[in-house]
Amino acid sequence: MEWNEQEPLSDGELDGLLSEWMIDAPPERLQMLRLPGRSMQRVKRGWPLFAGLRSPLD
Amino acid sequence: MTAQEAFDRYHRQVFGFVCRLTRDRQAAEDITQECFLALVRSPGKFDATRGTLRAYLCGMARNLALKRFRDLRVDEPMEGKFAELEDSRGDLDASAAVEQAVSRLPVLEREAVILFQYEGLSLAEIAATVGAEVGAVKGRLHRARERLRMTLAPFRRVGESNGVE
Repeated sequence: MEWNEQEPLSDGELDGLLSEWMIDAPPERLQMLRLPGRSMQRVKRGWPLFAGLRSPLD
Repeated sequence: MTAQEAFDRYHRQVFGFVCRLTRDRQAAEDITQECFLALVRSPGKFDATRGTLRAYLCGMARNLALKRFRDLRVDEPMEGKFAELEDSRGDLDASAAVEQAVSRLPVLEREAVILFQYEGLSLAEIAATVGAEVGAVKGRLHRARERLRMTLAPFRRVGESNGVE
């Protein structure tokens, strides 16, 4: 890609560049809340990354 | 709207906001999950007269992100510093340059840019999210964009200076 260093970006240029920063979709396991019949406690226990937040929030 | 419907509608937005704010996908997963669990546990805490649900959720995510880094005593990811990009020309692609430039904004400016530019929140919604006046948010957004105009200037694409491909 070719770059050109000049004056500060215009609004359009800045908006165009900012739009380049994309975030990948959240992982499928974040869909766990959609599973029917799964209680919140089961979701909590089944969420491995959640353990790190349990102590300061409980 | 049920918590389930709120999750379906907003979890990607909350995840994206935290991801950009912290640059940490694992933290974003944790915090997104915690936000919606909190909504399920205490739906009455959301007051529709004080703002939109998405602003409420983003505000909760913001507070959890700040708390997480305080607990972990991680200073730098939430305390942006305005500086030249490490590689202001050649090797960074546009996405990486933008990520780095936004991450170096002071945190109050950073969250304003992310919520406005990427999450599409109005100034009033951002104000509700971060607990500030609309005028203050407008000022933060303006200052952030002025910094980014300069920081990202080396990454202007030749031939697109007028926004024309």
